[in-house]
Amino acid sequence: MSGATDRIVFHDVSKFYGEVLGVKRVSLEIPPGLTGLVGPNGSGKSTLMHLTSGLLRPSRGEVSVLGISPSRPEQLFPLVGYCTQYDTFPAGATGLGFLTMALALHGRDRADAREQAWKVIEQVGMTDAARRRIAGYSKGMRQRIKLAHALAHSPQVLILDEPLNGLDPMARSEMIALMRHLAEAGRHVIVSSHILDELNQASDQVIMIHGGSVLAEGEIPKVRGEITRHPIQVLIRCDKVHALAARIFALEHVVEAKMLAEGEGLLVRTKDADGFLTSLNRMVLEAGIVVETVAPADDTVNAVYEYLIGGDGGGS
Amino acid sequence: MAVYERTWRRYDGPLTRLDLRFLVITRYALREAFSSRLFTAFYALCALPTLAGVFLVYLSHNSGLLSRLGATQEVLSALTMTYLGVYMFIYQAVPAFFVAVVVSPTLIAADVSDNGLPLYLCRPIDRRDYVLGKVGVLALLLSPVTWVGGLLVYALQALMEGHGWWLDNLRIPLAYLVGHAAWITAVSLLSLAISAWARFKPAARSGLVGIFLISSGMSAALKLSIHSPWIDLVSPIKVISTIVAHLFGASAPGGIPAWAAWLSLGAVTGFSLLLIHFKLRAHEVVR
Repeated sequence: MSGATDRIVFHDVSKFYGEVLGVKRVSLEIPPGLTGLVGPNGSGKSTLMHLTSGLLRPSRGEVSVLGISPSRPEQLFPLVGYCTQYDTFPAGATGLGFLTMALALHGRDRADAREQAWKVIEQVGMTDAARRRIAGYSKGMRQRIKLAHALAHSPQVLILDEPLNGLDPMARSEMIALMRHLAEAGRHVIVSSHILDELNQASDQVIMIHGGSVLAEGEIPKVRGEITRHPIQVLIRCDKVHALAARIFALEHVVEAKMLAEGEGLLVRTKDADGFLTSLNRMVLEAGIVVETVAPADDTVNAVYEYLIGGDGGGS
Repeated sequence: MAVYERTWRRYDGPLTRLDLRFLVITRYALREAFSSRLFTAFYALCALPTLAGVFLVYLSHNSGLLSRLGATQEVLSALTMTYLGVYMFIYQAVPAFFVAVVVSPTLIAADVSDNGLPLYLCRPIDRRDYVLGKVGVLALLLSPVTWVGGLLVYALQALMEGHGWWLDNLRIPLAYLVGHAAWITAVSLLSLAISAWARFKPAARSGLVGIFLISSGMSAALKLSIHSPWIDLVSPIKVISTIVAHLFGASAPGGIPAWAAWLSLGAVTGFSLLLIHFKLRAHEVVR
């Protein structure tokens, strides 16, 4: 098994809960950056996260986080921050107390733990509420304090289970910016979320999971490119739309071409994206068409999710 | 892929010892326990058996007060020895049990029922540290009202008596230490196990009291039809009484031998550990 010290590696990992399947024969290598973990409820996202964080042990196969086995909590957890999806906190704890305790469990002395807790509280924008009991926090505040809990000890790997749940749009945007910032600093940030649009903007790569099996992994455009059974959609904004449409219809690999409502462009579905773009260049030059935009219209997490998991409930 | 060079630095300062980190859990849970005034008042009342012992020792050595009360020193000394030698142990053990009944569910039931264990177990500690941290709370709470109190009264009596009294009665402090250590361990683990399985505080508390009452009642009922001294093994009260008698060198109240009573207490402790082992998982699995 690879002992890569900058990657999270799953090697033929399966997890069974008695007779119930958690995940099945998962082999993955997750590089640093922001990784979106996408799948319907019960697909195995949380199981995958728990396996990464060592909170579950695989029934078969091996997991390695930056070269460390998750069965060694004393070595693993200084490197890993985990934000659970559950809304639970120690009874009576304040935000500050909760974070100070977490840092003390990491071995920080009281003064240092408190100082670092304040820093991370500021980072998630909870300074005003830090001394209040968590039981009185709103859902969004509890999400922030959970994120702070995961971030407190400056881990290299952040595992965030549904961190955007319950946040208003503004807070979601701030949270995504923070996750992006952490990823850009070279950390592994693994996020599961149902809010696909926002995950799409932020993720460097996605892992799509369904029924315990990984259906796809990698950068979103590449994943989309490999889904050949669904024609790729290309959006073209240009003048002389009718002239371009007539030429496009003549191409064999074009399945469908739709004029946009405003008449300022076309939405084309093709089975051969590369071939189409080459032909488009030629057609544009021949007809003297002024092109404003050519952009893929369905290399989003949403579209890939729909193709792989939606519709027939998970395809090959 | 948009990943830039590492621009953050991990903490590399001094850390507390890994094997002592469980004390963090103990410290925070202890603070939470005393946040209730009602519990603090109840806990203060648990010191009454020890205070009664201190008072008896004082009284038995205060000839002026004794003569005013019309009592003789011999009678009071005998009473003090009997109290210190057996009864104070029992009077301390019972409230200690109720302290565990009150506190244990608050320590663990919410963590289990609300999936709160990952909050602890995603830190550089394991389940053993978590349990140790929680048992530590009970040990710290129960010790002052049990063996520490026992040793205090013993030390006071030894100081008052002088003349090597402490050496002649060395069995007493040993009995307090060993007996209460075994009692605290068994009660702590049993109460944590029941709290983990019952998941809700009222259910856990009722379960704990119920176990003692039901098993004692069951033992009494069984004895009516099955005339065997071994039935006493089911009764926690008989088991504890036998252990206490054995430790203090008194005659056992029941028919079971001391080794069987110790074995029974050990079995309860072991079974509780097993229950905790099976219930305390980082994640609940719904099948």
